[in-house]
Amino acid sequence: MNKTAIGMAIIAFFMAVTAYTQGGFPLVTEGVELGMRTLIGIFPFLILAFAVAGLVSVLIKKDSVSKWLGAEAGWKGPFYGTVIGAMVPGGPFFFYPLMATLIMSGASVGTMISFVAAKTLWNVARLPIEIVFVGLELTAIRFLVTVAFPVLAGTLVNTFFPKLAERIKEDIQLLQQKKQPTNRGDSVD
Amino acid sequence: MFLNVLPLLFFAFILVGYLNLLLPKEILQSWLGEEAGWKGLFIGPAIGALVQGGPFAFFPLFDAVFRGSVTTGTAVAMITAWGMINVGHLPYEAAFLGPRFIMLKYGIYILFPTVAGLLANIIFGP
Repeated sequence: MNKTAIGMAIIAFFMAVTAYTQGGFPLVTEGVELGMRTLIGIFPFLILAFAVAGLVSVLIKKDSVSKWLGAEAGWKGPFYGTVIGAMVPGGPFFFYPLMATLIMSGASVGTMISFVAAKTLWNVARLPIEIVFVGLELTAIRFLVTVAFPVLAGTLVNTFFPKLAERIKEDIQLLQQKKQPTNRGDSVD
Repeated sequence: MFLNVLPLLFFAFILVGYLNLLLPKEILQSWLGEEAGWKGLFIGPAIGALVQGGPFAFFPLFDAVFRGSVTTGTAVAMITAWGMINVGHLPYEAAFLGPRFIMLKYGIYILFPTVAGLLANIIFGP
């Protein structure tokens, strides 16, 4: 078990204590049950998501990732990241592993910051639901005032935090270390 | 890859369960009464970031509970925060991208929802 899992377990413990003080043991078990029901509910999707992330890491051409999403793309990287983020379907159990895979394949962290901003701000799959419940006017206003955000955020990161981006790459490598000992595209070169 | 992340996901979802349980929607709504005014631009995003669930859960809830009592700016800030800085994403971010990514992402994103709300109020009226 890695450090992140242990940290998470500690926070879970404190939340369980909070639940206990608010509603005794029934609330403690209810929280765990609710979480497990959510986990079991998305389990099939999780397996699919990992399969896709794994396939992407095997199939993807590192050259094209670094050309379009990496340092080579320059200022265009955050722009491409934004466009892809706005179009990629799927929930957080899908796009976070995908982002890790893309970063390990050569995408720059700033571009991924643009990607996740666009994905969570106005993904095309989500906009219809937003329009139905919130209305076209508010959805359009929200889109207009945030339209520059993803490119801006990614450019900020690429310009001012290039060193932090390297450390993040090391973090991901550590998280994946035990997971993929061999057969990764990037272990070849 | 999958089996190694499994213990992490196990605890992560226990956290998600408690978040859902310990944050009753009525309390969230009471933080954002009609009198919130400009503070809505800060309280709104805070609430948006805490509300859990995908678009099919969030938008109906937003429409039913919050839409009637908030300004355009607060609505924009809330929805933007629900997407960009949702705490429900933390387990995934920790599992796949690590602590430094989390600091970077939230450090940069944290003001965006409020700025978006402010822009909406200025350009389109409250």
